[in-house]
Amino acid sequence: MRGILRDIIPGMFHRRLLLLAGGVVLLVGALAAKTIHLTTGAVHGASLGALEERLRVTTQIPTRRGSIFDRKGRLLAEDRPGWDVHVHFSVFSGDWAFDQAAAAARHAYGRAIWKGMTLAEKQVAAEPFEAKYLLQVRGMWTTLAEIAELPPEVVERREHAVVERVGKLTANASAYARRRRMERLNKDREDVSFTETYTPAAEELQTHAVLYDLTPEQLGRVYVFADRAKLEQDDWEQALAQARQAGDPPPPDTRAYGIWMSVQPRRVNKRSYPWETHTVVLDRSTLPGLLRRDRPVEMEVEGVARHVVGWMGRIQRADALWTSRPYRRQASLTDSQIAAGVQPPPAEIDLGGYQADDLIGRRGVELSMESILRGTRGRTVRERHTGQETTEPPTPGRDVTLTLDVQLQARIQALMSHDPQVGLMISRDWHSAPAKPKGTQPGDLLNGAAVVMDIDNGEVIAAVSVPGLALADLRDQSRGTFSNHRDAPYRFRPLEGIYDPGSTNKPLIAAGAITDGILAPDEKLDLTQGKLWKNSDRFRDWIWRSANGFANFGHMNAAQAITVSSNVFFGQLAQRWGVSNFGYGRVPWWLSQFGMGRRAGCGLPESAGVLIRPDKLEALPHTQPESTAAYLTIGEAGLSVTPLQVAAAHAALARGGLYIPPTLVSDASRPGPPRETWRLNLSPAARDRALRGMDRSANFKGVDGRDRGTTYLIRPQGNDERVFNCPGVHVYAKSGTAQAEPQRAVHQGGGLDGRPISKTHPHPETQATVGDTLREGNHAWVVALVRPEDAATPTHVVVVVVEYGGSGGAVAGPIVNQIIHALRTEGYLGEIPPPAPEAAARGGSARGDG
Amino acid sequence: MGDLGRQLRALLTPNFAWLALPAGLALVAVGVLAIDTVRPRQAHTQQSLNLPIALLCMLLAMMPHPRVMGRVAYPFFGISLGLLIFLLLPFVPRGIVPVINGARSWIDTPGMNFQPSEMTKVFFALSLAWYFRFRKSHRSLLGLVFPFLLTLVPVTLIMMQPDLGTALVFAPALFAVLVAAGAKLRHLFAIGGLGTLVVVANIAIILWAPANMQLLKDHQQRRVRSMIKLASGDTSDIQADAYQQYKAMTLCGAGGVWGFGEERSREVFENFHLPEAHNDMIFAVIVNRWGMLGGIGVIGLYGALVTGFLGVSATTRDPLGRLTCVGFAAMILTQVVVNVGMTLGILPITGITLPFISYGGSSLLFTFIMLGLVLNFASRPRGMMERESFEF
Repeated sequence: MRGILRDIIPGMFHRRLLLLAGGVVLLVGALAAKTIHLTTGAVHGASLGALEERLRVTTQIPTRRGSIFDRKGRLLAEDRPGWDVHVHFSVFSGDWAFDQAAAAARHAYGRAIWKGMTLAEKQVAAEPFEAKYLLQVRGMWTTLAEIAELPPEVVERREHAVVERVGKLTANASAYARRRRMERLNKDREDVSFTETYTPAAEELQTHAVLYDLTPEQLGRVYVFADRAKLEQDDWEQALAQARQAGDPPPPDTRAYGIWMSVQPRRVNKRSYPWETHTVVLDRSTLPGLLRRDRPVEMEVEGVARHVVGWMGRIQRADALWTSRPYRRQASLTDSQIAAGVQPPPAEIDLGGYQADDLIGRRGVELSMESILRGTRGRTVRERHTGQETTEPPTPGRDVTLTLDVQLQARIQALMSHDPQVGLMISRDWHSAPAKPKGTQPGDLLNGAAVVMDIDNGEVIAAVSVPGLALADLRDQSRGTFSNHRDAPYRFRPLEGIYDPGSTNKPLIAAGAITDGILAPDEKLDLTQGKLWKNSDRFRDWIWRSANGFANFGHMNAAQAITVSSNVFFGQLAQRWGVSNFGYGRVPWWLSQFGMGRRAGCGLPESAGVLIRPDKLEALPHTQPESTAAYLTIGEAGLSVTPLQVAAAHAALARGGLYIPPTLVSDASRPGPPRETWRLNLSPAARDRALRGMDRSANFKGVDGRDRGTTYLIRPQGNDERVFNCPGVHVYAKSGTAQAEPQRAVHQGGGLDGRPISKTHPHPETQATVGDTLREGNHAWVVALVRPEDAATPTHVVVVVVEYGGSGGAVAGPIVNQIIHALRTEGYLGEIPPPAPEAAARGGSARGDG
Repeated sequence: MGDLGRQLRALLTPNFAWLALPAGLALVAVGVLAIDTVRPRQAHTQQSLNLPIALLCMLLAMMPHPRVMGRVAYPFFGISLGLLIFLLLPFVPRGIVPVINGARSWIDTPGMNFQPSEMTKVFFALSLAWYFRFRKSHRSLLGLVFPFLLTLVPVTLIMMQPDLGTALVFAPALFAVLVAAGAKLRHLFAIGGLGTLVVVANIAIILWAPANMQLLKDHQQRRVRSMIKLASGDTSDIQADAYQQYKAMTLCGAGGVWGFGEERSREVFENFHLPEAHNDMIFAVIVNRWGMLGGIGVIGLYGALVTGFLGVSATTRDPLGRLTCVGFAAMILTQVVVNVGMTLGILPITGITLPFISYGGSSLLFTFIMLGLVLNFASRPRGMMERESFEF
């Protein structure tokens, strides 16, 4: 071969050239082959797809979040379009002024000289020009403050807040970059300077809001400045171009409104809560003792139904929706697909998905009904290279109607406020709080909850948590609010607070016992011993004590035992169950049938409470099944409930055994299957005796404590007064005074200032440290079934619990009484009364908060 | 004048310049159109300023006798090296030697930025040819030392700017000249093998060795890694190190067989920014606008150009012309392979122009000077030779 080649091409030089030519052919062929590979087949398709994807400009069209209404169609939350004013971050940072000064200096010195300058020289050269632009910036801030009718300090504060926030973000990004670099270079022990690792945050390139909710007039004034700036800029550019064409030096910069090019008005959707603040007028003529006044009082309630309606917040990476439903989902390839050169498909877009800066419901119905309220954003897709546009319109969120009556809610919130003009949630002399070192003292502010429910359908028409929560608290003192574990204003007590129910259980237990046949409807039990067990004083009647000369209740039937709230009677019922075929487990079984220990699915996050399982109770060692069952009957062990559960249970009793799960969201707005009801098959006699007992508890004066109803009277300043004094309304009630575990200081965020409690940093108010008792005593309960005098059966149930309040009837009773008055005022009990003094002001008295 | 007439007459008889000259002119026409797609203003400058100057210089380069060219090769090579050193002097103000893309590669002259490394390429090839024209020392291993040292000087100076792309073309040119000049292939293969081994070892180090064992700079390592990732279908780096290469490959691939055509391609580049599209990434513009056929056509034109250079080398009897043409061909081919290779994703990204096509005064000027010198040699095919050269 070699010989043949030598014969054909005798010269070595030409043979070598042929070799080189061969190399040329190989290389050129390789390039051509790769070009063919890229531009044909699947690779071409994937590239074309990727290019088209990148040439598409998608503009999102915001959707409208659904509104929230109360049961009477009053608007509680809505999306309202508004205008904010944004300013580019370069103005905040001072970069805008410097860049303008540098451009002016460049024009003044000429391009050639400017190019020859070092960075430091350029900085020095730009400095004299900077003052003019800084003045423009200052003038803009002042003008913006004037337009928004705000003090300049407010705008300045916002300006500093933006700089601080973005500065932190940038610092974080740079610190991350620095760490990464250090990790890489660690082995060489090479330090990395800040300049080398400076990583700008995206916020440095964006605009930031400084004015919110501008009126059309204010907006118009901003646009006047922005338009002037635009005109001025056009003229300036034209002058520059003419000078360039003529070969003249650039004209001096005479722009006076240039800074306004960095100002952008932006249309945004605001969540508005028209009932955030509401004024109610309370009649004080029915209040107990010294609280009673002839003149009504006008009160402004903040955060009406805030716990129920909830609020919005920006989505965080920790939120489940961030990962479960992202706006953009990029398909991930397996290793084998990557190895096979498979191109990743374009990201899938979910228009209803979440992305950074999206607002989501943070609490209440805003959170629980997020999927219904949210809606789906629309989009306009413009092909940048063809200009073709396609639009998918947004789908607005669906409205949600609550079962609440917000007017009644506001009224009850006012009644249960800590305002001394009403004073029902302030400890009083007649409250009979036990004398304990950390027990409630007269004058102390009380916390608690109230629930009002329609017995017919289980709809909650008011649910109040004390202390309440207003948007202003969330905005201005969010940290203090959420770290105040002592009063826990963030907790929605009607659904999330769990308490031992105490004697409010007794009507339910009596009904169960009579239905099971272990107690005849009018059978009297011997209570003369005053206690359940001969050898122990632990389980006794409240009247059996030395102060009363160890008095006892004698012989009583179920209705009488409920009236006076005998413990021993119900302890004996537990014993009867124990020796019957049912066993002790029947007690928790009955309570479970009444809805305790389970979530009702009321439409908001709720606690299931605690209820010992029947089989667990039966399996307890020694005599514990008997004692636990006995304590269960009086609500002191093995059971913790929410106020909502107590209300639902007594509503079921009033219905004769039909359990309807309570709800705060109207059935029409609830997603999923309808509420599941069940029958307890209570005997008519059982319901009758339980209600008779509650009736006597509220209405039977008797002779003394041995036969008087526990919710019959209170003694403010030593004078006897009826607890319930609403004319035209019949009340069946049961009190509960539940011994409660002391509230102890916790480690995490125990202080009011948000710092953890410790030995060196005690609670700023109470000086408590970790584990110290903050409060102790009894939770005060009253549950009341009410009906208009002319109705045959109760129509509403009212439950009130006051934490560490003292005696149930004395503390919670007057509050329930005022709620009954409020119900009547709002027209729920009988005919609608004549217009109250505040009715005229009602329409315009609500002040919203967006 | 009579000499010039003889030269022109010689050029009119069929010869390999007929392949090189039209190929070069076609490439520059394609280049102007491609630049016009992405930067109309630069296309205008290229067409109305850079190209006339370059054509004029090409005609001037056709005139001097090869002997004159040989005699001035060393002094001009020396001047080139002097200019390369001047670029590196720390006290030279930035108004004269601006830093563009982090490199001190240009001297700011009125009208254009002059790039001394482009000039160095031309005089390096001439000097190399002048050095080897009657020697046979390079037939021994020791005789290869001087030419390698001669190459190392400009390569080192250019690397210090730093301009890796331009520095890359010197070694292949030396290699090709040595092959043509009759150096022993076993020596060259051994050196080439060693070089390949170094490249492979470097890639292995980048991929698998810990950070403290890396030899290349951080950005060079990242470019190699991103290129390998992209070639294996991993697009995780496309917003970072693989940004430019991914975009170039996407634009090439999207062009398909026939290309997008002028209007659509112009719209695409307006909205899909490709850094250095008018310069180092111009091949992506060509494939996007004229498709696979355009891309292969341009590669074919380069093939014709290089073949034309080698053909002139084969037909001329002047030893200086023989080796100069080979050196120029190797330089141009290297530039094409590296530039097109990085655009198509088979080589890592480095700053290198596509001869005749990319925007740039110096690049176009000296490429046309190369073409002018090749035409000069082609116009003197029957030059008397004292003895046969490069026949061992």
